[in-house]
Amino acid sequence: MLKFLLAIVTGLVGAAVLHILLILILPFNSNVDAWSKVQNLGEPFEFYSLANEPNETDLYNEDVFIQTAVCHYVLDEGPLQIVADQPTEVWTLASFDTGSNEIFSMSARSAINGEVNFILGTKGQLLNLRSEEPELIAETIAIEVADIEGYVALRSIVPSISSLEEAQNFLTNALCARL
Amino acid sequence: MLRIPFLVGTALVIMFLGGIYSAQWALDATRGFGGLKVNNWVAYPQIQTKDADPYARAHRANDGKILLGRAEGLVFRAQVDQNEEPLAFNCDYTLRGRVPPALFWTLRTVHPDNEPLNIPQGKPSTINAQKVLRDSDGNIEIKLSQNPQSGNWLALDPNAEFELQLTLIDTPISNVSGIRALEMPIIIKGDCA
Repeated sequence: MLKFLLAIVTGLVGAAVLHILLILILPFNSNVDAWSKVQNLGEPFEFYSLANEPNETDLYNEDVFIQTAVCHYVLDEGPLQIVADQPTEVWTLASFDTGSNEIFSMSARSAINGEVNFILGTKGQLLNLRSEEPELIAETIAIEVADIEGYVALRSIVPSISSLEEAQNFLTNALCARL
Repeated sequence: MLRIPFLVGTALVIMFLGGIYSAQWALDATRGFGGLKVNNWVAYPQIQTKDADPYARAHRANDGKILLGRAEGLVFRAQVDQNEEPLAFNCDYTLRGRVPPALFWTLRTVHPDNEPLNIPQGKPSTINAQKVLRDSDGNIEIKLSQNPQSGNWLALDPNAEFELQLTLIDTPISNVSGIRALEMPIIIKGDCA
């Protein structure tokens, strides 16, 4: 009887260890995480506007009033430039690393002239840019990243369905390109 | 003679079933420890950051959503009414009170497991800061029901469990520590079918 109890206790301890391992390992071993899904949208350096209905990409605008476009990047050949100059009511932007940890976020209210104009690069890339093209970097918001891979989400707020077209136009015309 | 293998087998079965099921349960049931509760609403301001705890990270990786950054906004969810009873799709509810300061917000129903809900065509599935009607004091009252209601109305899926999701866009509260002192609408249960 005592041995049977010991077996149960051993099993429970093992279950606790396995539980902890599974929770810790999952983020590194998931194929349904945001980074995997974003990569599956297509080639890097392009904003992909999400559809409003569920689809095979498993990414969509759950909230039709918040339209989202995503672009993933690799900074192996230089920094990334993000520009969107079409009109929209309100926009927000966030950049994430491959683990979907937020690196930077901003909304229209705190941007220079309310414009979307960002440069994203590693420390070295941004330093180079500051010395080579100081006037370019003065007009933009520079975001420093530690890893060369990641993704950017640009969102446009749609207060009413009548402005949906404007928001979608804003996102489709947004530029996400190597500088 | 068979006692030793039986004991080892028992331990292994408990270990694997217990470990896998409890991890699965934790993924579905919790978004981590960093939850901030205001009335019946819970927000996870750090779930998209490096500071997220292991459960929040596991949930995030399993969920695979493009989350709102801190400066973009904050998402609150409610699973229970003001009497701490789970929200039921066959009941009517009234939301009453104020929404925290934000540039814009949307309120909608979501499935607990994030599957799409089937709100009948033509019925309102989302309400937002610009569409909502307010009284002279700036308070809002939103009715949740399968049947059409006067005033602000959000339709429920007649066949599926739901939670409420309030998405605040560009809100100062994601940067302040006084989040607990916030006012959030209360959720009052009405008649049930």
